[in-house]
Amino acid sequence: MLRRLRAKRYALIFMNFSRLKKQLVVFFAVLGPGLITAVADNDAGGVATYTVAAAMYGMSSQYFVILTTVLLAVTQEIGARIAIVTGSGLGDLIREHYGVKVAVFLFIAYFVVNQGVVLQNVTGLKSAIQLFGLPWQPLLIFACLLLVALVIFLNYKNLQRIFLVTIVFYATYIFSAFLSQPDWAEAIKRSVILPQREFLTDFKYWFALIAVFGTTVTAWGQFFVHSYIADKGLKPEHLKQEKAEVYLGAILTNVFSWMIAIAVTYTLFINGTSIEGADAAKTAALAIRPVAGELAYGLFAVGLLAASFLGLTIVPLATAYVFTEFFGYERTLNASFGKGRVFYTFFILQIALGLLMALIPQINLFGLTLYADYLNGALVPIIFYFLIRFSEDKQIMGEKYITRGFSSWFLRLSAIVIAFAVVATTFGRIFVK
Amino acid sequence: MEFYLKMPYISELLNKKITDSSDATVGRLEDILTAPKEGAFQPLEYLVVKVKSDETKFVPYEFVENFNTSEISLKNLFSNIALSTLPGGQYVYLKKDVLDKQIVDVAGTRVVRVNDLRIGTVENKVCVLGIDPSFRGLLRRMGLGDSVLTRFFELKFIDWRQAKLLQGSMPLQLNTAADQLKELHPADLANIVEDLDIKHGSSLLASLDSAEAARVLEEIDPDLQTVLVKHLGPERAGKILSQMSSDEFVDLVKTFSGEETKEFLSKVSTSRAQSVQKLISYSDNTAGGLMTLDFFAARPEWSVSGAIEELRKVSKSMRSIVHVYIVDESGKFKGAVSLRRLLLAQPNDKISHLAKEFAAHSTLKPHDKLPKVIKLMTKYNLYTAAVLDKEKKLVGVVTIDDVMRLLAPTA
Repeated sequence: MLRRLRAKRYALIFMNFSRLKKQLVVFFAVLGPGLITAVADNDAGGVATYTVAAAMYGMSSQYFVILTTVLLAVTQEIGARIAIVTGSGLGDLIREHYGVKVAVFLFIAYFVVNQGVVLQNVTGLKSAIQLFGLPWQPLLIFACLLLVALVIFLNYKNLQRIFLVTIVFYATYIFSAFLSQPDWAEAIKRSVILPQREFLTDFKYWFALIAVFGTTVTAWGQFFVHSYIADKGLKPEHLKQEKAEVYLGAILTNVFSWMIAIAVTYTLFINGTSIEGADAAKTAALAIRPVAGELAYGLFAVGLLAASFLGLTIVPLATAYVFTEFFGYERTLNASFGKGRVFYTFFILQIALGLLMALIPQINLFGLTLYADYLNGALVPIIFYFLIRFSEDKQIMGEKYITRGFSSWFLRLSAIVIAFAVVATTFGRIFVK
Repeated sequence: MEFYLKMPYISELLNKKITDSSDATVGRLEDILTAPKEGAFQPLEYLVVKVKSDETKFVPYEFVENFNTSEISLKNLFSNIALSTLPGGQYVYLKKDVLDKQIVDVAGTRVVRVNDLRIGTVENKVCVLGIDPSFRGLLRRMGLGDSVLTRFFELKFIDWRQAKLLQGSMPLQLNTAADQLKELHPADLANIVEDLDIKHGSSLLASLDSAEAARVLEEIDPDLQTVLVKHLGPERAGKILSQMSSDEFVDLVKTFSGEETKEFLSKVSTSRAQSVQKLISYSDNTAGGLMTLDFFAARPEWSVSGAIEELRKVSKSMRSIVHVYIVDESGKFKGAVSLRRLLLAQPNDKISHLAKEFAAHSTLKPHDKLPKVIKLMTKYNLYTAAVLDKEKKLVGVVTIDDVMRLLAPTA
C-alpha cells in the first residue's frame, strides 16, 4: 500500500516536471515580442530621462517604479491578447472598424512622433560613439547602413536573436549600478516606501516623476507589440505564456531603469552634480568617470549604445508595420525586399530622415524631440481608447477572451491615469527639462 | 444625355439622403447588399436605409429609380416597399464586409486594402464592377476626390469577378497571384468612362498608360470619343491616338474639322499620320472606310518558321491577327494564309506554297459599298477580306468586327 502511494507521488512529481518542461519550451517559443518591446521602451530617450531625473532627485525619482511596471504590464498584455486572438495588428483593426480618415490622421501623427523618437536614438548612438572616443560621422552612417542591411537581409528568427542579445547588453547598467557602491537599503526605501521629504513639496519633483513614468509608456510600444505578435503568428493556446513574457518584459525594463537611476544617484546625485539637455546620457557618463572609474564609464557607454541600437531598429519597424496595416500592404519581417517593398521603404525612410537631421549641426535636436514627446502624450490616450474598445468587443475578441470585470475597470482607470500623466508630462517637461 | 449622370463610387453614395416617390426624405444609405457569388458581376440586391439612429430598413434594388451621386430616389412610397427584415439567403454587405478590408492573393500575400468600390451597369443591371485599391481611392474617401493631388496617382481597378469573399472578418481573397493581377477589361473600363462626366472620364483616360487608354477609347461610343479627345487636347491625346488601331483613329479623325485634324495629326507619329491621311479619303460605308492598315504582310519566299518569327516581333503592335497576307516586292497581293494553316505547316515550307488559290472575286476594292462587303464576307465565310487597289496592291484589310460594329452599333 505504502509503496503504491509512494509510486503515485513520484509519478505526480514526474508529471508535474514534464508539464513544467513543456511549458518552458512553449515559453521560449513565444519569447520575443513582449520582452523586446518592453525593454526597447528604455531607449536612448528613456535613458536620458532617467539620468536627468536621478541626477536631480536621486532614487526618489524612481518612486513610481512599481506603478509603472504594473501599468506597462497591463496595457501590453491587452495589446498582446488582442493580437493573438484576432491575428491582426492594431493598425488593421483601426482601419477596418474606423475607416480611412481616422487611419490617415492617426498615421500622420504617429509618423511624426516616431520620427522624433528615431531622432532621439540617432542622437543616443552618436553620443555612445563619442563616448568611445571615435569619429562619429562616418561611424554613425555606417551603423545606420548596417542596421538597414540587418533588417532587410535577416529573417524574422535571426533578427529576433539579435534583439534578444542586445537586451543582454542592458545588463551593463546593473554592473555600473554595483560599481557605484550604492546604499541598497536607502535606494529601496526612497524608491518604494517614501521619497526624500523635502522633495514632496517641490513642484518640479512631481513633474520629474511623471516624466519618468511617461517615457516608458509609448504609442509605438503599443502598436509594436501588437504587430510583432501578429507577424509571429502566435495562437490562443500561447496566451498564457505570452502573458508571462509580457509581464517579465515589464519587470525587466523597470529593473533596468531602476539600475540606471542607482548608477546615476550614487555618483552624481550624492555629489550634487546636475546635468541636463539633449546629451544628458553622455554628460552623465562623463561625470561618472572620475567618481566610479573607467569601467563604470565604459559600461554606461555600452548600455547607451545598446539602448540606442534597439530603439533605432524597433521604432522605425513600428512605423513600417502600422503603415502597411493601415493601407494593406505586405507586412512581415520574413518578406524579401521586393515583396515587402512598402514595409521596408518606411523603415529606411525614418532612419534616413533621422540620420540626416543628426548630421546637420544647425538643427536643435532637443527642441525637436521635445515636440515629438508632446505629440506622443496626445496619442497615447487615443490608443488606449482603441485598446479598450477592441478588447471589450465580443465580435472581435469572442466571448472567451474579452476584457471584463475587475480588469476591465482597471484598464479604464489605467487609461485615465496614463492619459493624465502623459498630458501632465508634456507640461512638466517644460519646467523640468 | 445618359453619360452626364455620373455612375458612382460607393464612397460617394454612402450616407446620402434617400427620397421616395412622394419626394420625402426617408433616411440615409447605410449599406448595400449583393449576392456573394464568385466569378460574375452580381447585381445590387438591397439598399440598407438608416431610418433613425437605431432603425434600419431594407429596400429591394428593383424599386430604385435613380442611383447616382446627385440623387438616390425610389420609385414607390417607402412605406409600401421597405422591409424590416431580410428574406433568407446569403448577402454581402458592401460597406461592412468589403470596404476597408484586406485583399490577399491566392498565396496569402497582402496586396492592399479595399479603398473604394466602383459601381456600374452590366447588361442593364447595376453591379459592383471593380475594387479600387489605389491611392486615388484613398484620397476620394478623404473627401479629396477632385483635388489637384489626385492627378498624380494612377487610377486602378481590380476586377470584381476575381474576388472571393471569405466568411467573417477574414480578408478578401483574389483568384490570382498578386503579380498577375488582372485589372478591368478595356470594355468594362470603357463602360465606366461612358458613365462618368467629361471631366472625370477624360482624367480617367489620361491616368491609364497610353496603350491601355487607346484600347479603352476604341470601345467607347464614337460620339463620346470625339468629345473626350477634344477635351484632352492634341498634346495629351496624341500619345493615346498613336496607340489606337488605324481604322478607329480614322473614324475618329473624320469627326474633326480640317483645322483640328491637322492639329491632332501633328501630334502623332509621321508614319501613322500618313496612313491616316490616306484612309480619310474613303467614305465611311465603303471597304476603304472600314478597313484597317494593321495587317501582317509576308513575302512569298519566306519560310513558315521565318514568318512566325517575324509575327512574334510585330504582334504586340497589332490589335488582332487572323490571316497572314502574302505580298511581293512591288506590293502586289499574292494570297492569304490562315494562322491555322501556318501552325500546321512544316517549319521549312515556303509561305507561297501554303496560300490559297488567289481569287479575284474574294477580294474587295476600296470603293465597294457596305452591302457588297457583307455579301462577299458571308458568301466566302471570311473573317477578314483583303482590299486591293487597281494595281492589285494590298491597301488594307476589312475585319469581321468592323462590319459587325456597323451592323450592331449599340452593342
